[in-house]
Parts: sequence; structure tokens; C-alpha cells
Amino acid sequence: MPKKSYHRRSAKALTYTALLGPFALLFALFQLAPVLWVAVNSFIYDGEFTLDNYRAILDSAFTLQSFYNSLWLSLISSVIGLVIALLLVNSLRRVDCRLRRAVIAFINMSSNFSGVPLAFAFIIILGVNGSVTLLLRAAGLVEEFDLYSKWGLLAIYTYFQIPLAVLLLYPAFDALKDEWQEAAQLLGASMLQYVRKVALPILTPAIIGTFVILIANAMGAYASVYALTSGNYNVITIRIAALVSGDIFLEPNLAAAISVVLMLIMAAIVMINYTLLNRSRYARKQ
Amino acid sequence: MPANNKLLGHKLVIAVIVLIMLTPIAATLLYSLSTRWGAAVLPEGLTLKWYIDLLSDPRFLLSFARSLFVCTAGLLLCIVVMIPVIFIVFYSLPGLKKIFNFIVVLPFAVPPVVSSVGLLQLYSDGFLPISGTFWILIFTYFTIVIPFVYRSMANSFAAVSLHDLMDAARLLGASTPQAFFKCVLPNLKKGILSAVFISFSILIGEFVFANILVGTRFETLQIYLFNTRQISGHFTSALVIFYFAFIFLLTFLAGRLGNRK
Amino acid sequence: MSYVVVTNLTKAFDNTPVFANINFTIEKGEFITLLGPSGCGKSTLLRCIAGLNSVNDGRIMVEGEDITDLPPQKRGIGMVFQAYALFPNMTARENIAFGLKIKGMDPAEIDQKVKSVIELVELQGREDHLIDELSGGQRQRVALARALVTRPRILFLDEPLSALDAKIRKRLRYMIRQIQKEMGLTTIFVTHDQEEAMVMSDRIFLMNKGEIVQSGSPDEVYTRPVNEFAAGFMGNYNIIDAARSRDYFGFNGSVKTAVRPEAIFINHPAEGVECTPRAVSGVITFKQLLGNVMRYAVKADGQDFSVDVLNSHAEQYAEGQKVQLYFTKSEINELRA
Repeated sequence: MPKKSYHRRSAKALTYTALLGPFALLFALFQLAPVLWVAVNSFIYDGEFTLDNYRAILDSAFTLQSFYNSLWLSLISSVIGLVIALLLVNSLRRVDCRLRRAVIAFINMSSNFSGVPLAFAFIIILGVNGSVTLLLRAAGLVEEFDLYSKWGLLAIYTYFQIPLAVLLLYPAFDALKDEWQEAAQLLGASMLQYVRKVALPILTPAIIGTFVILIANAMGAYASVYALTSGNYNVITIRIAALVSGDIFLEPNLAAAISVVLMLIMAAIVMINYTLLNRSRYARKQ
Repeated sequence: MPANNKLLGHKLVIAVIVLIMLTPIAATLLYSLSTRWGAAVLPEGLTLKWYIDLLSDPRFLLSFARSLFVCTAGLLLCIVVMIPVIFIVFYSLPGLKKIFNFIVVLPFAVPPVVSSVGLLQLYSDGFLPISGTFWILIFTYFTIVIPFVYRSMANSFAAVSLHDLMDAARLLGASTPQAFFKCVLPNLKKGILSAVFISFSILIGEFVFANILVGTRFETLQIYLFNTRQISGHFTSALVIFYFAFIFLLTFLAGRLGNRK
Repeated sequence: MSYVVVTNLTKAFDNTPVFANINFTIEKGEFITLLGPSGCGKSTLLRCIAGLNSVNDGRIMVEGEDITDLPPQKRGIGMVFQAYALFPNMTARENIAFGLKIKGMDPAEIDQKVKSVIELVELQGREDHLIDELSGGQRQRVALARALVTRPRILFLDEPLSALDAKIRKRLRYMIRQIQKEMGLTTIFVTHDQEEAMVMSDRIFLMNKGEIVQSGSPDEVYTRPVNEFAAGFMGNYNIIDAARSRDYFGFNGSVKTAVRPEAIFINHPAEGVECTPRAVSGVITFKQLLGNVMRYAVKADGQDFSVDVLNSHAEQYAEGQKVQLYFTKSEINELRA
């Protein structure tokens, strides 16, 4: 009897291995191994275990600038994207469901409009002779709009943040019940009080979660900057890619160190947001 | 009437934002249909020339075929590998769900650029020198779509009473694989298909891995788009619109599937 | 030898015992109900016999064959689940035919068998609908048909009616019992509803905390509860403590007794009923009309009694009225600790 159950157990283990094995192998080879390589090699310079790579980051004004540029673009585009998305989602709740569904479908579709194609579309409308640039110039709103500067990049980043933010926030707003507002009104609360005391606390987790994803999305963005500026604008992802696949200096270990710092920054942002989240009792329960 | 004004205000907000989102797409469409669009707000004339040029360019057709191939292969690999995994997780080892919730966010937490640093070093030579070939794209695309495939399949699994269905089928004489393939898997078709469409539209837009790991050695649609940017803005626009129409078709199909009862 | 013999069946989940040393036998064609509160182990016992859960110890024999180590596919057991467990990708007909197809039966024969079982459960005209398109009662009839068509050696019904509304439940009860008798099908039915158990069963196994507390005919289990749990679960028994049982009925002072509300009389016993010598005086605190029965709450000797009086011919008593209580001698149940 014990022998039999041993048999059965080892057969079970064999089945599990056969079914889970391929996934585990591929995941390890192509997801875990690269990250592990990056983590380990960021500490290796000339075959020695050292912090030189990290020191090189601090010593290079150019690399530090890429961090600054990435953070600047990510934070500002995330805030603007979030605000626009909040406005849109709030208004969507108030209109009839056919319009709402159509808009969401459109947003869903435009969320795929990113990277290289998006950069080209922006060149067409906001480039030197782009029609929107011409319109803006005719209206006297801008003298010269340089799409290839940080403002141009901010425009493109914000553009691809909006759909993502809308799609992430929409379900949370959907959970807000009209009866809550009615109940608050009957209890004597003004609209502002309702928003501050009820709606906002309920939405906070979703807003914070969305913000984190937007930042991560922007920090990791590569294709649109690369396509727009042919890799000439200095953000972290462009820096990393140039160090591993550029034409001149290949320094994969330095790229690894920058990558680690990038991931640490993202982890720090996640941590800060979780701390904020933990302040709200409602959010903790979620 | 304040209520009416309010509604109008909301509609105005929606209209403005949608207009902003629509402008790049509309402008690209117009550009792709125009003969010349110089330093003016509107183009000079309309034509389908750029689309004809595009569709008769063998390099374009080839790159499109390459994209379809790597995306399909990566996605198919992911689905085939994930089905037994999700089954085991939901049926026998629910303790693994926590691990999978982590696994599923990992591709988001690690930007593709970071992965490509390691991938480029690991697979350029050594035991598996596949960097620069379509193989590396298939395997990295596999990792990209894991979260989407897992999520939508997990949702479908949670929606059927898996254990009851398996028990019922086994009591009626079906073996465990029979029970799974005949009584459980057909009910997951919808979830799997919607995962396919979402994943496909993400993969077809993938640029980072394609550019860093493979580049021109296996020219996918995105790489072709980037490499031909100098030919003509109109031609590029036609290409962008073609790409966007394709994505539109995919999201449309995904939505149709999602809404169908 | 009996048709089903279960000996010393023991089951634990990760060292938490569910039941231990369960023993019982079932005769061919019997309708057995496992009755008990939720969490008493009745469903797990059923699943263990079906082979869906493994057992730690004990034997299960059916028709003299030891099935303890057989996989569920080979046990010849049909089961109807609480949540139906119908395959949503198949029509009603395909669900019913599934077991026969797996067996590799000839298609013409399958058609014919499926057709006759559909008639049996009165699902004509619904057979080509998908499961989503059927009502709860119809779904459960498909589930029943799916289990019946394979001609199982034993039919298991795991709370099959609890998700349905009262009216449909009553109809299906009748249908199940009718079909079971016609086919002479040995059946084990699981429920927590004592009324359901009473109307359907040949025998009831009353379970509590992983033990079969009492088994017997519905009448036996209802009128002769063996302990306080059985008395509490089967009806609105008045439980009388050991000291009062001694004073009222002359027991030895160490056993409790249980008396049903309808076995107590107010002021004068019914004709031809022998009552215990001692009457207890008390006051009516509350009365409640339960259809054909008037239920009085009587406070007597520091204890609350429920007394049921048939509404039609009884004289009415008012709240606050002083009364005497008489106990039917043959209805006083001595309870095991």
C-alpha cells in the first residue's frame, strides 16, 4: 500500500513536470536569464567584481542627463495624461451608453497607435511644415514648434499615455454608484464634499495604480523616441540601447548598470505609491 | 437648465479629447491620400497612388509576412505552453496562483530594452546563438504575451466550474485528458480567442526587440516602416494607415468576440 | 451480502479529520438519504464513495466487488451535482449522450437511449438547446438524465434541488423518486433539508461532525431521536433536562428526554392517549398560528415548552392564561449523551 501511493505520487510529479516544464524552461531562458545577466554583469568590469559601472554612471554628465530627461518626460506626461483621462472618464459617465461605448472602442484602438507609426504621424502634423504647426503659427500661438525637442517628445508621450490611463481608470469609475452621490446629497453633502469624502477616497487606489503604470510605461518607452529623433535624444532607454547595439562604443556592462538603476527607480516609484496607498483604509482592503 | 448645460459641457470635454486623439490619425490618413502636401494647411489633390505603390512593393509584402509569421509563432507557442500550465494551476496546484500573479507582472516591470541587454549577450554566441534570427523574436514575443494570455485564460477558467465539470466527465467515464479536451477546453475558446487578438495587435507593433536583437537581418513590418522613412512621407503615411487598419480589424474582432454572448 | 457495503471508511484533509470509521450497508433499490447540517461531512463521504476524493482507510464494496481503489470512471456511479456541472459547450442532448459516446456505443443505440431518457425526464422539445438557454429546473433534469442514461450501479444526488425554488423543488422531488422506483435504482441522496429527507427516503442516515448519528426509516428517525442533536435537527423537540426528566417521568436522573410539541396536551389529554401521571403547570407566553397548527409557548417550572395544537377543533388559549401540560407516555424519548 505505501509502495503504491509512492508510485502514484511519482507519476503525478512526472505529469506536473511534463506539463509545467516547457513553460518554466522558456520563461527562465528568455525572461529570467536576461534580467539575471543584467543584474550580475552590472557589477563586473574587465572581468572583475566592482562598482566601477555604477561609478561611471555618476561620473558621466551625459548619462545623468538621460535619467533626468526620462524622469522629466515620464512624470509630466503621466500627470498630464492622468488629468486628461480623469476628465474624459468623468464626462463619459454622464453621457448615454452608446456614445460611451463608441468612445471607449476608439480609445481602445488608439492605445495601439504608438511607437514608430505614432512618431511618423506626429512628424506629419507637428513637423516643421506639419499642418497643425502651420495652423498654430497662423494663429500666432507659437513662433516655431520643434517636434524634436523635449516639448515635442512630451506631446508624443502624453498622446500615448492618455488611452492607457483611460482604459485603466474606466473600470474604477464604473464602480462608483450613483446612489452614493444621492445618499450623500440626502445627508446634506455638497457636490464638492461628496467628491472629497466619498468619490476620491474610493478612486484613490485606481488613480495611484494607474499613475505607477503610466510612469513605468513612459520610462520604458523607446520606439517613439528612437523613431522621432533617430536615437539622438538622450533618454535612458536610448542610452542603454546605444551601449549594446550602437555603432561605436559597445559597453554592455555599463548598459547593465544603467538598466539596474532604471529598474530601481521604477521599484522606488512603486514603493512610494504603495506607501501612499496604505494610508487609506479602503485601499488596504482592496 | 443647468442639467442640460452640464451634459453639454461633458459632451464638449469628450469631443475635444477625442479630437486631439483623432488628429494624428486623421492627418496621416489625409497625407496618405494626397498627391502633395507642402507648406499648407490642406493638401493639393487626392490620390490612391501611395497605396498602390505600397501594395506592389515586394519588400513591404515580405516584411508584413515576416511579422505575421513571428507574431503567430510566438503567440501560438505561448498558448500551447500556457494551456497545460493554467490547467494545472487551477485544477491541482492552486498554491501556484500567487507565483503566477508575480510572473505575470514581470514582463511589465522589466522594460524590453533592459531584457534586450541580457538577451543580446546571452544568445549572440554560446549554447544557443539565435540572436539576429527570427528565433529570438519568437521566444521574446512568447514572453511579451504571457501576461495577456494568462489573464484572459485565467478569467475563462475562473468562469467555468472547472472541478465540477471534470468530476462529472470522469464519472461518465472520460479520462482526465478526455475530460479536459472535450468538456473544459471548448468553453475557453472565447477567452483564448480574445487573448489572441489583443496579443497579436501588441506584437505586430513591437519594435524594441526587433530593432535591437535582429534589425535588418529579419525585416519585420515595424523595421521596414522605420527603414523606409526617407522614401516619401506620403508613402510612409500609407504604410502607417495600412498598419492602423490592420490593428483596427484586430481590435474590432476582439471586441465583437468579447460582446457576443 | 448487501448491495453496497462500506466498512471503516476514514477520510482526513491534511490531518483535519472529516469522518472516521464510517460503516453502513445499503440494499439493492434502496433510496438512502445522507442528512445533516452543512460541514458534517456528508458531501465528502459521497465524493469518496464516487472516487472523486481518495480515502485514508476503509473499504467500499458494490455487488461484492471492492471498488476502493478504482478510478471514478470504472465505478459505475452516476452523479447529479448541486450546481448541475453540465458542459456548457454542449446541447442538452449532447450532454446526455456524453457518457455513452465515451463508452464507444453505437450511434443509433445512443440516439435511441437518449430519446427515451429525455421522455422520462420530460424534456421533449428542449433537447437541442444549449445549457445557457435552459431554466434551473430544466438543467437539473438534463443532469439527472445524463446520470441515468448510463445505467449506473448507484445514483448519487448531491443536494440536487437546493439551487431551485420551492415549487420546482417539490415537482422534481416527486419525479426523482418516481423514476428511482420504476428503475429500481439504488440511490444515495445528500441534503440538509429534513423535510426533503423525510418525503423521499427509504432510510435516512443522519450525520453530524463526521459521524452517522442515527439511521433508520424516516418515521423512526423522526419519532425516535437518539440524542440531543437528532432531536434538535429533526423537529422542534422539547428537550427536557435530566433532573426534570426524573421528576416528571421517573427516569434515573442521568438522562435527558425529548418530547415533540404535538405530543404535549394543554389542560386535558386527547381521548385514548395515555399520559404520564404528573401534569406540569405553566403560563402561556406567546402564541403563533402556523397554518393548520396553533403553536403555544408555555413557561412552566422555569422552562420553555412548545406545544402544537391542531387549529380546527381546539379550544383557544390566551397569552397569560394559566394551563396544565400533559405528556404522551409513548412519545417520551430517552436521549443518549
